[in-house]
Amino acid sequence: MTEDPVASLIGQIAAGDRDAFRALYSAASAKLFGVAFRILRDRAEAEDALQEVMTRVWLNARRFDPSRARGMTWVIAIARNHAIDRLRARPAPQDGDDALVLVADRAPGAEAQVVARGEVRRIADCFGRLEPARADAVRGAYLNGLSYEELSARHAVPLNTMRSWLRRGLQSLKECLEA
Amino acid sequence: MTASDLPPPDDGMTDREGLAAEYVLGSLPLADRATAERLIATDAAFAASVNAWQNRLSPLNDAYAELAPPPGLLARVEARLFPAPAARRAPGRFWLGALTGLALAGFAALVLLPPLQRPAAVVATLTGAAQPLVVAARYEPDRQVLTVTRDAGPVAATGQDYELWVIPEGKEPVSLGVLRDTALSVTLAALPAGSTLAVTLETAGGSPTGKPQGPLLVAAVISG
Repeated sequence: MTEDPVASLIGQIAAGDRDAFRALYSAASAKLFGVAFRILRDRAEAEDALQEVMTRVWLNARRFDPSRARGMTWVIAIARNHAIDRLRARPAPQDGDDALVLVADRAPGAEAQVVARGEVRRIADCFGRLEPARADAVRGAYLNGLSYEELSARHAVPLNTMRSWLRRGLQSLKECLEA
Repeated sequence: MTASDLPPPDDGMTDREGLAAEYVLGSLPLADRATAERLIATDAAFAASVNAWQNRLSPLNDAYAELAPPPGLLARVEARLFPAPAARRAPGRFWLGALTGLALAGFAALVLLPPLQRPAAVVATLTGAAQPLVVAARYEPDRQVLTVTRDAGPVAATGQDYELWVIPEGKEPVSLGVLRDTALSVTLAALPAGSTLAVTLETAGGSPTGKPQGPLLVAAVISG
């Protein structure tokens, strides 16, 4: 495992180091705010979410295990999980909200632009082996927090078909990554 | 609707593995996400499976563009986590005095999920200084149900139990029951801002007097 400055900061935060907390905020807040905003699509709510995410980072830092995850992966998981929980707690979307969903995606090939790291290239290769529509559904769920309902409407397939697509897509990715 | 209403897909994944994968993917409805979050706290194998999926899919995180948060947001977080010592309240009973000290240690947090048409769920994390026990609480006003789980820390020693209390602002603690391995769900008419949730260590079965007697371990104040 290469050097992981964010993991070191989380370790210091676990010991109650407030300077490390500020340093982590400097290093990670723009990424975490980007995550919250992309999922919630609402600036004020993304701000609330980022406050809560940083609060959880402080409170849960002692549960971080650097042998199990990189520091950025851990804090981004907290941000995604919180933003998606907020999104799911919203009332069901009314007719007309679909347009929002449809325009929100498409950062074409964003993950392919970053080819420096081998793991990124590997997952891009594995995505390339999925049917394009299924790969797109997996990305839409992961990056934007789209629900089964939104994805099935968007791809015009029944809900349980969409669920099968996603689960099989994930299973294929796992097999490909472990091959 | 929850995903569990759907027929299980025939994809070779076990229910648990599928739930872990779909939780990380993010596509599950709220009820299933809550189930997954409870399992993460209580089932080490499930937590490991979630961790593996997070690592597997983490290269996708590169697609999230950075966006600078507004200036002053860090200060708001710090004000919440590290409050300046508050004005001293009239000294109450010894136990409530201990609670004040704990709150000043700055380990109380909560989140209000968005206040739209449905009443917002209140989520609080009960922690204490130098205390391995971490207890998660979630209150759903529309169902009037408070669900509490032990997120981290050891089980209570033989002959002892963790007991959960709600303390309405300025009132005496009311027992909500003992907290063991499974989630504790209790009906609660309201959990207004200013209330405190607290866990003490009591003899097995809970305090025999109906009032907290053992040491206060963790707490969180509900803020509006």
